[in-house]
Amino acid sequence: MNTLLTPLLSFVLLYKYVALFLIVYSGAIIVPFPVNAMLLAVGAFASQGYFSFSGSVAVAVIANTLGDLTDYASTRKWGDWIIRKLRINRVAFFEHLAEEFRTDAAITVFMTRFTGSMSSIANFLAGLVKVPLKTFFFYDLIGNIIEPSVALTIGYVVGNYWDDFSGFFGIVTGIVAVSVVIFVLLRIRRRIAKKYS
Amino acid sequence: MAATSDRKRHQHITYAVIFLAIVLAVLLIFFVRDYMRLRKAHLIGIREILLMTAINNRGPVTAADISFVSPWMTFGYLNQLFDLPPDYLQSELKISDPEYPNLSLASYASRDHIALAMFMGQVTAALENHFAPAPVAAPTTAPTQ
Repeated sequence: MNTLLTPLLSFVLLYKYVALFLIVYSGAIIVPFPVNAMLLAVGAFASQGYFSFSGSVAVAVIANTLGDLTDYASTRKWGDWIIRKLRINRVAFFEHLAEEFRTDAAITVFMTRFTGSMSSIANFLAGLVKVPLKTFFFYDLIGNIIEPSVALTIGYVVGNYWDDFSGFFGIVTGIVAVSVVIFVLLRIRRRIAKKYS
Repeated sequence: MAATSDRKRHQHITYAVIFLAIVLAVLLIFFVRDYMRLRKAHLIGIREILLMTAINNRGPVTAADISFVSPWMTFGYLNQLFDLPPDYLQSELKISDPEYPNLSLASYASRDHIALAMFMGQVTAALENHFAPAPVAAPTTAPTQ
């Protein structure tokens, strides 16, 4: 089991929903907590009557969405200043990435909800390229309802065997993350080719 | 010339799409018919019922579940999970820590400078004791006179 996960699980067992909220919120911001594995465990706790299933889903969705909005708001407010300081705006790849994000904001925000820690990077980028708040919030919320619900449901169904599924869940997340990166890079490549043809 | 070939290609694609749509529609009809037949035979219903029963009527934890006990679990969680009397583990393991049961097994062992493996053994033994069948009293035979 992940060495970071064991103290988190004790924390969740002790402080229940408050701990669940804090961990999911921190994970959504950018702290690399094993949130999915923890949600599988919470789903198992719910099946044993130690947590309420619907309560856990509600807390996870709210915390995840608030964390994502924190990322989005921070770069939307201070992003330009950071870009100027780091001189990223002169990097051509960043320009293409920003353009890609602006054009396909909805699908990119939605897909990156299933990519683990990469979703935080997408949140920062969304704020940076000023994706409309309504678009970001809507697709973020839909993704955030699906993702933790799936993890909690699997945990609920498999019960005590949740730990056997955490590796599998990590692999699926990794595959989705790589697929999203390839998808975005291919789109950027096609856009550049179109521009110069 | 190029426009004609483009139009021809476009026509071919259109025909292919129409053909695929017809195939899909036919398959859908067969699929729905089979589904209705299976439903009528109560085969689909049975699966749903069995799955829901497995999820909702999960039996209470038993001695077989003791192997899942881990150092990150708290005493409070174990009490609820195994449906133990609140002070069962406290008295069995002679725990005097005021934070009991809001304490994980690992942190209790580390606070009391007990080797974790040894303490886990004690917890497991206490749980096994709880689930052990009560000894059957030997039948008392009336003294023959």
